[in-house]
Amino acid sequence: MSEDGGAAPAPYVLDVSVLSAITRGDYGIMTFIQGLDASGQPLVIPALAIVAASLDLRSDDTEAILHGLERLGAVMIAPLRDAEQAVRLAAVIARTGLDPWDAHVAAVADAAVCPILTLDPAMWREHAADLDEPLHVIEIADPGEAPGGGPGALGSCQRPRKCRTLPGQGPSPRVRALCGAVPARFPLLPGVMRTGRAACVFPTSPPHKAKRARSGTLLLSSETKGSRRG
Amino acid sequence: MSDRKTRVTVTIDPDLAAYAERLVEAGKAPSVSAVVNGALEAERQRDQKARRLWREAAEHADPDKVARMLAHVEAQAAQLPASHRYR
Repeated sequence: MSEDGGAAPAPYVLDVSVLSAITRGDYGIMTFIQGLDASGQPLVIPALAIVAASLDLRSDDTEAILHGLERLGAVMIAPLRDAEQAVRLAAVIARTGLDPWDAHVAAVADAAVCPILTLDPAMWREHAADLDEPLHVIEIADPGEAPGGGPGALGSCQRPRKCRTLPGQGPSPRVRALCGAVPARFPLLPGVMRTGRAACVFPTSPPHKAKRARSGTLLLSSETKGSRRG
Repeated sequence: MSDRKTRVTVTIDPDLAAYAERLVEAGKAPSVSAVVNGALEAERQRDQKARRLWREAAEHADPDKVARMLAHVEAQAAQLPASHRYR
């Protein structure tokens, strides 16, 4: 039972660095993720982050690893559900200069009030204050390992898709206008929620979110893994 | 385990049903049941491969290192604002 009276733990949002390590078959990270899953820690994976992790390493094994990741009980996929969410994601991209996949991670973490789990905290520190509320980041690292501890060491993450925004290249006036027209904080949440054995209920309207949510603009559906089995 | 086939009633999308019928008509499958059976077998193999890869990871990982990583993450999570820790 938690110190918060039995409340479920907030999900962690996995970013591209973590997913890339998984698709590379990093034993340590894969086992770490299984450890979180076994402990009942909900994990959210933005769909565009999967795109990024899949882009540079496409193989049957990669597909199978991602399939296995999705099958973990505590894992939820956050898709880009509709045109409204797509436009709002564009606003986050314009506002932060992040690549779409990173922006999707940021948007989901921001909307759901969840920390981002990453191997690349430096990248997120640059953007922690880009949105109205600060992004919170949890770094995956082995504190017993020397900094930069050699090839494959944690922290020497290889992000497959670096930000393509060139120095000095800001969003276009049209995109800036779009950004200004859309509320910065929005509920870019999974359209299909699958709750695992951890009773990881993704937040829809927690009290602390009430003033941030745009009422009447979001329909969330919730479906358990069990109920998906016809 | 018996080799006898089990009869089940399932509901599938019309386009998939039509696809299965076309395979049978084209002589690519002996029956719609065989098509469904094959699809389920492929899904089972996909699941088995995924499980094997994740199991191999756990077998090859350094458990002490993973434990340290988990503890490190837990320590950071404990420092988060309550809004980011609980639902």
